[in-house]
Amino acid sequence: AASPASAAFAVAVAGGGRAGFRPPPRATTRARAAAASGAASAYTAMPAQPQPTFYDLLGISAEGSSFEDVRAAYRRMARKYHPDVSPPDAAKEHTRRFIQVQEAYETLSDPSRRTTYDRALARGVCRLAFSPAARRHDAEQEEKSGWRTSWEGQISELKKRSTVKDAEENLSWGAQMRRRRAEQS
Amino acid sequence: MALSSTFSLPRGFLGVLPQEHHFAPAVELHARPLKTPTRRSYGISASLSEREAEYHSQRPPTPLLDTVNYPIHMKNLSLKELQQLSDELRSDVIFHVSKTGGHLGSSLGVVELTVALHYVFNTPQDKLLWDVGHQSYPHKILTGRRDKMPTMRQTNGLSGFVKRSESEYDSFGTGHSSTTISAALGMAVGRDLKGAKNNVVAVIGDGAMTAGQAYEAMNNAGYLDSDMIVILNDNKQVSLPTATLDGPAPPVGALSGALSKLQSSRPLRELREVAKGVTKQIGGSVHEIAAKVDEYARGMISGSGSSLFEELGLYYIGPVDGHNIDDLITILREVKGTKTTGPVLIHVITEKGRGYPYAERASDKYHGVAKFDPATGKQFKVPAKTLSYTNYFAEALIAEAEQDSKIVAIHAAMGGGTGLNYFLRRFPNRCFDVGIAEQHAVTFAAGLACEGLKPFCAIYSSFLQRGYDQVVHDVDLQKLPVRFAMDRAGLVGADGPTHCGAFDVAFMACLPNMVVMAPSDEAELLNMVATAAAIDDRPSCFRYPRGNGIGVPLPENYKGTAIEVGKGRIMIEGERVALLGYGSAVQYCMAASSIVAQHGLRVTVADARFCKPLDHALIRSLAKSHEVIITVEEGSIGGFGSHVAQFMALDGLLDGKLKWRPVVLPDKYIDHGSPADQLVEAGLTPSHIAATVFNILGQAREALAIMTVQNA
Repeated sequence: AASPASAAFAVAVAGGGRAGFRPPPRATTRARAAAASGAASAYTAMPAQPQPTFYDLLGISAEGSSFEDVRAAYRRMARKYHPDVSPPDAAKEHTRRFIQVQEAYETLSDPSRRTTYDRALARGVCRLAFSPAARRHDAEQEEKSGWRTSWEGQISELKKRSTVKDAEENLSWGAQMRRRRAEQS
Repeated sequence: MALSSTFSLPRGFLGVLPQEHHFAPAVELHARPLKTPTRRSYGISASLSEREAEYHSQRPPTPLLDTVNYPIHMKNLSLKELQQLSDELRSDVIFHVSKTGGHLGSSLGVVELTVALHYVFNTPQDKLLWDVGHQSYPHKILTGRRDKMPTMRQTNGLSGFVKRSESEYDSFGTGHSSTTISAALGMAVGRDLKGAKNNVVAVIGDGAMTAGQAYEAMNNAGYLDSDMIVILNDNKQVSLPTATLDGPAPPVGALSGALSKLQSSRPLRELREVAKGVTKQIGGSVHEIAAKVDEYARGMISGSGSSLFEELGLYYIGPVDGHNIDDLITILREVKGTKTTGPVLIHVITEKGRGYPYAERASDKYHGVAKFDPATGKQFKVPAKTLSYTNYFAEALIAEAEQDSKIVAIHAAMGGGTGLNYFLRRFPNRCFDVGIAEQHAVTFAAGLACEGLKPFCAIYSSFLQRGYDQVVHDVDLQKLPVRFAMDRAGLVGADGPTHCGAFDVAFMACLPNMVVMAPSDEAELLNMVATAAAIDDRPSCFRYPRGNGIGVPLPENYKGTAIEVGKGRIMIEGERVALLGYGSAVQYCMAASSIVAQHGLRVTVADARFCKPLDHALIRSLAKSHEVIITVEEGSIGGFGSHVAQFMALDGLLDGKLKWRPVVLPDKYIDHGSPADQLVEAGLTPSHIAATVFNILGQAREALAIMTVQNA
């Protein structure tokens, strides 16, 4: 399986990102070197240590954890980090964690959102922040690959049609002109 | 006068004064905290913080673009190189526009499409038409005008739209929307008659598709069945901006929903797969049967959208990812290589402002921008002491509508440009955006007037040309009290002759029932809005220019007072020569009188206010007490001056020693440029008027002195 670094690098080089801004060349070569050496260090534009995923936050494994596991883990974490039950000096940090846990649960408890998140993880596009824009992005990608099938079919049909388009019965002005042009050439 | 003078800001406004500009909304929206849908207020986002620069600050190198001067230089590039070329082209557009201002979002959305089109087709033999033309910046860069991009929209520089006289690659001049399918069909038919073989491609947006002319053209194209390609550039931006003051809005019109459905027509795809499989199994010479099956399947499954184009006779292909060069080139190549297609419509999905993060996030997608800093997206706006006439109009209409619940406002996809987005926010149920459909807007207003409502149609002077028959036949002939607020009257600067409002005085004042008036400053504008609201037995109109107010005391809360219809006013009492101005030209007359005064002559300056009905008493009194009357207006021949002359002739005022001279826009189209340059080109500057005064009086030396000082 490709390491997150090389996956992220592949995304950057393909230029498939929506933003026009490219990271400065130095970072790319470093990432390329890192990928070449097979190091597991994350893409250099991000912080040095890899960010936790939603699964890490909830303390469950990515594969095989059912909806029940997710919910139980969420309950555990929520009880631990809820601002009302945390010590006052840790309130700010706990609130932050709680919100992250909340977001993790919302994503992982919904089957379709979870699948999209898993796919995004595999591509190395994101770890923790699964913003609505990214979600929409993936839905869009799926839709777009469906478009290709659609227009490929339309093009083949266009070609089919064109072979019979200017048959004698077609008396449109354009057909008449095309026939005349074909006769002259 | 017991008016409190105030330059107060519009209601609910916070931050920087909005600047009158063709593109004012972009600034206003940035003065407010943007609701950016990609950020949640509490989540940790992996993207960069808002305060950091999200784009290059220096122009990145463009090695590939540097080798492309004309499309022929692209023909040997590989797919990867074409992608790189697109990226370079995109950054080139951004950096050029950042220095000159102009239309950014639309150009960014069609970068890949432009590259694909020029790669696949052989322009200029193949005709490429750009609807509206404001998205043609990448096209211009690729067709030999990259070095001229710094002159974009400036005097003697590149036009901001497509222009035949500028380059042979610009096949058809555009500026108003929805004309390209018609023109492309004309070019296709012309080609057929000549027996030529070139391709004809028209690129039109989904906003332009809301105009009737597009359907007239498609209807005809389907009937004639001539080979041509229409590319529908769908970015879900139907109005300018497709957003309210408070954020994005769903596009107006039912068509957008239909186009959206096309993008996710899953059942059709699946059926098609089955049909393809079946055909393969049958094999052999059953093309016709398979074609028939597919045709029925389409009609059955695809629902409203593609059937619309199919019924009109255009073969529909799509949706296609408009930012995927591979897909675009494949499709274009296939269609180009297929003989006898008839008209084909390729539905391309793009994102306005794509590739520039600030544009992608902005509600108006950076449709039109002033000069800006590429790294931060901040626009440089010159601060002004007064608001734009557009803003004053919006505020005045709101003030009237507060007191009269029958007042409604209509515009044609120009909520930002007409200022009616403010009206929409204050009265959400009383503001109507009909899409790019001026003809419909006028008759729609007529219908409202039949029901006793008081409709204000805010349409740019040049765009109202499109709805002229409706003004004549549906409004004026039946004497329905529709009010026309014609913004951008007169010369408009960088947008050029396509947007210039030169003819509205002529074509409105010749209508028997129309009240025609023009304010000379913003206070007069407020009063004329009130006057128009009060005129309830006949149609009325008023025109005002692009630009900011001159700085006069304003009534409280922008509530104007109705003025007596057909009554002008004297601004300066003088002798011998009377300058009778109409609209903003009165300000030029005032300035001219100062110049003339330096040479020892004090002339009279009068503000006619009304072109119809004329202030007969004023004109008679001026005629009796002066040797010369000079009528001044920023409009074409046949307008205010002609009406004054007609009246004076019929009244016998010209039978004596009185001389009359008109000062109007010359009998030619004034090219785009700065407003000051355009006035010089038109001969309408205060210096020109002052020189005219002396010329008529036979004082050529003074006239020459004035003109030489001006040109020094």
